[in-house]
Amino acid sequence: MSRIIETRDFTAKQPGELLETLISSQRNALVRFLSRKLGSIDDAQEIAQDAFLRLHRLEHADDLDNARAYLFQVASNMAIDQLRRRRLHARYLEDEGARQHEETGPRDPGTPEELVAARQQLGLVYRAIESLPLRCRQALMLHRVRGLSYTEIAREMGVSVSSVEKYILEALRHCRQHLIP
Amino acid sequence: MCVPAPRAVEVLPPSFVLIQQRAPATEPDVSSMTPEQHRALDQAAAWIARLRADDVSDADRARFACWLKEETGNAEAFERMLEMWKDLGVLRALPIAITRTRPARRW
Repeated sequence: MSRIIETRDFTAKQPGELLETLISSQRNALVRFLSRKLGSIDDAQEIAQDAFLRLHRLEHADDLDNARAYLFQVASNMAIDQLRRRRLHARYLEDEGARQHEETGPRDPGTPEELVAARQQLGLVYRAIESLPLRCRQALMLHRVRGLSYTEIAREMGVSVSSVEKYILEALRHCRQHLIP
Repeated sequence: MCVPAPRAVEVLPPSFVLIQQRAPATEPDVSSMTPEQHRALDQAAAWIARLRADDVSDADRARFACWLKEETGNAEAFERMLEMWKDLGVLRALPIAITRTRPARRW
């Protein structure tokens, strides 16, 4: 069970520090919670990280119980989104594979519109990545797919860590132009 | 506590400023987004890149929190970039090779 945090421990501190404490105290519990939903620790850590980023939007982090509940709710919603996305993409890939093998058969429920949208989305992502400059693509793939840290990527690519961050930024800006209308 | 920045530059991570200085002239903007929205999305991208770094600091996070509040469109821009970031997770399923960019050893 996660450690109970006494609000009186933090009377002298800034709200930002409460947030930091919430993050460090809840990280393990949140990752465990998400792992059960997603069946993957890597995905759980990814979503936990994103949920923490959203915590920065909380105006009044001094209400710790609400902040914790908000954190878990946000993370849970993100997990649901990812499961849904996974389902759509898995069906897209299945569909592609089936088409190649000329198989037919009943599919899980999911509207044709959703399938078309998922297929279009995958196509856009593919084109965005394929058109990236080589180093930006490599940095992004190593980080986003293999989950390597910037330091590990720097070692792999033989460049500085700050270069890795710039490659990731350029990759994101490039993808943005393809993927955000 | 957020100190109001004179202009956005001071609450951006260093890598973003350097990119801006290097960027060549771009084509005329034909999208329906305002220049402010484009700018906010680019800044959001810079923040994602910074926040995922190994050496992200408390100062970075504090500056990020300030940036979120600095303009009304910043939080939304960050949401959109975060959505895109999540969508990029599908890369795991696509047949894209991760090629080496370091030169091969020559004998």
